Amino acid sequence: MRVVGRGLLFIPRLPLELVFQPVRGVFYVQDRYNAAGVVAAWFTTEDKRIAIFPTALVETGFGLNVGVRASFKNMLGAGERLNLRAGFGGRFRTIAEAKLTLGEKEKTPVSVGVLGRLEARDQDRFFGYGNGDTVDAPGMLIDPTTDATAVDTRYSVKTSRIVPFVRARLPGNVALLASAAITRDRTDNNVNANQLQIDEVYDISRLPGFGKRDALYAELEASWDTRRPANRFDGQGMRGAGHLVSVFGGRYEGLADNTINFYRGGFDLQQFVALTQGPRALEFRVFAEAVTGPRDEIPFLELPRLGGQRLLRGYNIDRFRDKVAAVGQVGYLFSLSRYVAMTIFADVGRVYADVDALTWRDQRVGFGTALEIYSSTGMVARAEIAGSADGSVFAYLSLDPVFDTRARTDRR
Amino acid sequence: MRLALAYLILLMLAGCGAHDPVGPVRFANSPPVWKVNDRIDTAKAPKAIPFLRGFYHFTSFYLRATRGLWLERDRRAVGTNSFDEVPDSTWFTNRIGVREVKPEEILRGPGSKEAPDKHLPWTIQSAKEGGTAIGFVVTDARGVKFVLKFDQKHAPEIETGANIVGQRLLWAIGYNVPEDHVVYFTRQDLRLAKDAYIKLDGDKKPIDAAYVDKQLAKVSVGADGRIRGNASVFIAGKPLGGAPRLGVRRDDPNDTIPHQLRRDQRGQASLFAWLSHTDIKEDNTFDAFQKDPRDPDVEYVVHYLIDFGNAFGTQSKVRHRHYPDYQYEVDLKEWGKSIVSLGLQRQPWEGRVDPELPGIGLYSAEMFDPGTWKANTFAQLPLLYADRIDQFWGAKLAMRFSRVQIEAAVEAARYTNARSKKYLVDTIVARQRIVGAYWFARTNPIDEVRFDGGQLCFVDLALRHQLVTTQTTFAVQSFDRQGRSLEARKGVAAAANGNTCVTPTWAAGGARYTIVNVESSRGMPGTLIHLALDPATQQPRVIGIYRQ
Repeated sequence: MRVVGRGLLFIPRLPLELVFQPVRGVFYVQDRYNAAGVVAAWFTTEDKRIAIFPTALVETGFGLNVGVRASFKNMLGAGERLNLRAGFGGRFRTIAEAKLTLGEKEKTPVSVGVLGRLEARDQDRFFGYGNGDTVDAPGMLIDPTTDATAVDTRYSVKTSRIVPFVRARLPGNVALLASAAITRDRTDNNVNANQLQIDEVYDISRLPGFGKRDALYAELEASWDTRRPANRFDGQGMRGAGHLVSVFGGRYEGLADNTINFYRGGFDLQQFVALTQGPRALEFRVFAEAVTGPRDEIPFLELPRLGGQRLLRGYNIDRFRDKVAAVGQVGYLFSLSRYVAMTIFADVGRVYADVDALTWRDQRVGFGTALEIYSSTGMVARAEIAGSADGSVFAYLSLDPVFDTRARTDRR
Repeated sequence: MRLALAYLILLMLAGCGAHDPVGPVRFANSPPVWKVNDRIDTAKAPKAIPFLRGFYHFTSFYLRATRGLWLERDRRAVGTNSFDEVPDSTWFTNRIGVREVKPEEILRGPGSKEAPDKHLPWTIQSAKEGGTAIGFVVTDARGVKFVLKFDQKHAPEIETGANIVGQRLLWAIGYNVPEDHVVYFTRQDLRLAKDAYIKLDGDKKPIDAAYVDKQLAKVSVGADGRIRGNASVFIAGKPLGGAPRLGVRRDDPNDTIPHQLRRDQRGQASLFAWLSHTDIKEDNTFDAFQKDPRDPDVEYVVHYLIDFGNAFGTQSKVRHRHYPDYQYEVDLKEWGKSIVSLGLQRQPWEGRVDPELPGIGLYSAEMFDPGTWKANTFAQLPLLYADRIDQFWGAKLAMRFSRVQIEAAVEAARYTNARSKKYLVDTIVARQRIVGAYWFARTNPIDEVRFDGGQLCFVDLALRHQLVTTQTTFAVQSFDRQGRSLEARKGVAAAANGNTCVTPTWAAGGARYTIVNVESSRGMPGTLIHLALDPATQQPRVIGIYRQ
């Protein structure tokens, strides 16, 4: 009878075998022949100082990006590192980047670097200004500076940027980051004719900064960061205790034909509270950012924005933009093992036309859950499902840290 | 619908089997085998099996996911004699409880060599291969070759101590282990062989003094500048890799019992729980093709356990892992409970108390539950398949240690803190008793079954070790070979020390094969003791024990 049973159970066993066996094969080849190491050796020098890798990345909704990355370590014997990157397709139509750093990996008290980047993105989203609900495209063009009607439109942007930076680590977990960016932006209609073009909905002649724009932006950020695992059993990067107090301020100066000048400032406050000796913690965060100057003159690319994976999760990236953005976040983290944790979170926030317009009313609410994978040194992946009170739902798989450590001037 | 119903019925029938109250097992009328000859000369060395870490662990999930669909029945362990004991073999040699194992013997450990730190200086031949720990292959002034490993800087004495205590106890139980010593030395005691190397990606690359210094900067060094290490003398013979967790080595004619069915492998479950030896994987076993010490022309495979440095809660201090003993590294069942309860479900390891003693890991008797104990992973399948009979066998061996013998094993670890030593001994003893109490409550713990003056005598191990204090009565009933009852059940009170004797009712005819069922009033399945007359002397004897 057992033989008969086994024969019958072939039916449910088959799909399992079809899933498991190829993966076993991959593990076998990797372990037996160090396949990844052999392949990696094709692209690195024996002393590992020079590495040149092809890259391929598929992003949901954006498609395939292929390219090449190269790194040159300590070629001059000064502990310097030069990273080069070029790619085509996907979110970026093209991207080329060179970054030279000194002292960053060595955790020295002071590190310096300079970054140069050229990129062309052709699927960026514009929903207008303000806190308005998303609607279908109306029949007439919208002046985004006076009308908060939100329509999901696309535009393209070409950016060239040079960013020098200095990072100083002071005693007591205090750090200072000074950076500047010389930027040239060119915004235009989206190249993809199947998507709703920005100029089909919005009056781009009324949209500040649309078209060509050169500028210098310099910023100083001071942070006091004691975020850490709640206990030694939690993985590195699994924050369960400590706080972040970060304040930043910067000056924007238009260059060439661009005569706009304004200030930017803000803060990011985070507090982690371990709830029990076990693996549970609460995370509280308040983030706010504001720019000065006339709303109808500040380039729309420079306005504070909400939405995406970091601020006001559950909403589309760049879903809201205006002169002031404020978000409160609360999260509950519990670990499943040293290397795996789950979080449940809720974000509340909105943008405002000015500081005078701050109000508790009409807040946007996002919420979701995420599964986080850690290595012994930090977070390696995060899978997130986030939704909003307005009905939007997003799923993300991120293979880079959730907490962006780059200089603000280096972010898009 | 009809097809689905027929499918279900067929599946149910496939899982059904018959039940016999006295059991189908009958024994030959002969004494038990205490030694098997699996040392038959093997003309050609079996092939070495590399340990493929990722493949090994992924295959564990594959096997677990599909095992039920193969309708595999739970099978009793084999590799036992008619007394349900493990005979001596290349896997296991009965020591404690079978012969006198003096504390000095445990202190000295296996092997005949003196500790290498009595034979300085040492010469580094190469960096250690495999594993993640820092280490070197070294020869001492005598030319004895050993692997030298260390304690990590933030966890002095922990790994080296745990390795020695585990090694000494498992050796005393009966397993083959390498000859390990805790050693102390200074940087000046180390020389570098001219051709010293490290193997990277299969290529040998030379190492120099700067490399050695860099590695030693990562290890624990005492205030007096002495470095503490673990010296593991090379196992003789040709290394063949670990013992496969499933099946046999097909090219080893002596290897005839599938490893997942071996009692000496499955019985490790309760022993490893006792010692919190959680880092169990094929890679921590070691097969060597060795020459017979009495006849160098004869060669065969000998099976070892190696590397106990992660026992006794070491991983909590060294690798900051809190879950060993309670949860697998990837434990989908526990994860599922946490996710469903949004993390409110109390993790099984929560509440563990760190003794906070130098050299001691997160090893305690508080919260220790042998029934739910888990290793790092469920990959070592013989342990996963262990049933309560296997666990009882292991618990029985654990209970054979006296406190003095355990103290000798701890002494061998050369801990520098007296409180740490005492704590470790106290905790090993406390966990020993927990293991004994747990498994002796699940399998009728009668042992040392024998005839004494015409009476059938045995001892109740739970009473002997004072793990229970309740008055115990045994219900005894005899059956003939065909399973026919020869008498009504009769009650016999056990003495406070567990010793009990009964006069069996014998079956008629021939060798008077008789089966005596002994059931404890503490409510466990009975033990079937098979008796017969010795054909040579016509004296009654026990010819088999079957634990239900």
